[in-house]
Amino acid sequence: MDGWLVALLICLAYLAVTLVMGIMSGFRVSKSVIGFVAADRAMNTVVLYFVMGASVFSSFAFLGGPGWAYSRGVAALYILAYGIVGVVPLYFFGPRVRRLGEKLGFVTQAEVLAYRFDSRALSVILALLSAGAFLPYIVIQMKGAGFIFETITDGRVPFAVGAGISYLVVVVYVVFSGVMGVGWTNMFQGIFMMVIAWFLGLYLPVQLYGGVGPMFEQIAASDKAQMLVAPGLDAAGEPWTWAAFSSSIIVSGLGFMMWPHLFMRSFAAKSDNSLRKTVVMYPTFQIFLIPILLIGFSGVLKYPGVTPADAIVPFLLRELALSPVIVGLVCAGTLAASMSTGDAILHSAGSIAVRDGLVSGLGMKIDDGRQRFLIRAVVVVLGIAAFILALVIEQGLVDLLLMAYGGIVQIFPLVFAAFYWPRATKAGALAGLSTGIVVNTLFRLYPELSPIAGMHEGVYGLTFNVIALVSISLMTKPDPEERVESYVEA
Amino acid sequence: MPKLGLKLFSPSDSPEYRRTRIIFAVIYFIAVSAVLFPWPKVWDLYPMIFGLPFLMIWMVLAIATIFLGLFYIFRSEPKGE
Repeated sequence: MDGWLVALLICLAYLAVTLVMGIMSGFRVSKSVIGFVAADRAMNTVVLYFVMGASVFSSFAFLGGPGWAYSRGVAALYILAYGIVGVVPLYFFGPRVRRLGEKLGFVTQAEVLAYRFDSRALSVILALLSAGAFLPYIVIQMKGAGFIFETITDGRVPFAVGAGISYLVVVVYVVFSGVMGVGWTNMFQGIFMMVIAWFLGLYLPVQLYGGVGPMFEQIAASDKAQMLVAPGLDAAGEPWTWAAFSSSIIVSGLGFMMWPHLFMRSFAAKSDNSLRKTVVMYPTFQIFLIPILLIGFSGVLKYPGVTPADAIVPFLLRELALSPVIVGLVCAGTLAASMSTGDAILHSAGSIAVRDGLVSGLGMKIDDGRQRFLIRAVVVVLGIAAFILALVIEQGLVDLLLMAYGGIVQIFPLVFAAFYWPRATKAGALAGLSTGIVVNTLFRLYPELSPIAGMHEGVYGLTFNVIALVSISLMTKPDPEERVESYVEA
Repeated sequence: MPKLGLKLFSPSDSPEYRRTRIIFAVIYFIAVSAVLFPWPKVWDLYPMIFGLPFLMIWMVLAIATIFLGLFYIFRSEPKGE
């Protein structure tokens, strides 16, 4: 049997196992919206740990991470830094969010903020912001899945077919099982990709250079030595600036837990302690990014000129004449990375559109069963929309994610203020969020306006966001004490 | 921080509970600054440890520091939660 066919069959077998596991897990929760969106608030530490970890380690990490190490050298370390910086706030506000959810019936991020600031408009803005940021994020995942199938089969399975099949599986188990499908498949996918990442990350440097140390020594002695000089290179191959490196960590770090699909996991936690334990254990997941970056570095000298850089992993697999079984397993691991994030986002996007857009935002009265149906419908529609975009968008995986973070990070000041600044008001929150989004978009569209070269646009958005939040809040009447205290003392 | 109007602790939080959180905040800000700024000597290739450039080890140390810090405050959580 041809090697590509063996690898393809392994990937298809992986998809079949994931599909069965995803559908079976749906029988573990009630048929209510709380069951579909928040797993009946009963997720234990182990499942929660893998949901958080696997949701984060996506195509962006598995393909974009090595792509950055391959093309921009140690600039890729920012990925290692922001995850660890960003998970910590969840330790403090996560249990409060969980308790509020249990007490007041919240299952989405916008419900928490819209109630605190008593604003339907906020709910709608957050729903739109989430949709705007989610789309590039899902597109990233689909592109990753498409890349894998196309490369390992030498184009016999086209990009569109690979992405389509993978995401058909995702849509089916998300529609059937909701967050429980996401949880149990993420556990399987998380373990699988950790094993694959360590294997490949250590195997490639040894095979190509005689070890990890010799690999870095040889890069340092070559004309690519600049890649190992902090903070690495920019997209054009010129030295990256510290302003760009540090601001990317700040924006991505603060925005990390503001992603609705991660924030919403607080509602699924069984107890405060299971959520805290998940955060404490999370850095162990972060360490697994190291072999991911080693994979990218291993291609620098041996296979220069691979474009796009995000395709370096599948390219190496094809070039190295590895056993087709290993190629198949690695590709399945990469698919796991793509799908374990895509499913969480699709599920959250559906929940947000219905709960925040229709129920909270537009004030529609929709019963429980109908809400579940509508969430499922949005998952299908969004899956199709993202698939179409994946076929037309050309941007790199990490760039797409960095772009999305600029918008998402604008939620951070509101979450902080809701729990720790009693003086924050509805007008201040609306002004802060709107200003942040507008300024972020402005600097994204016109980077030449930036007074500091390379600074991430999210930093400017965040600065103006905080200024507007604080000043308008202080100029307006404080919000009702009872409502404020229920959050500050949660 | 009454001047800023921030309410980081509840009146019912014990002094020990507050102290552990303040210690963690210090640990966290040290680890975050370690990865944000171009400190001299640490963003270098050498010395290599386990074959990894020192700047990668620096990043691992920051991760380990935050992990230990989180473990420290987790142990201080009130019993029975």
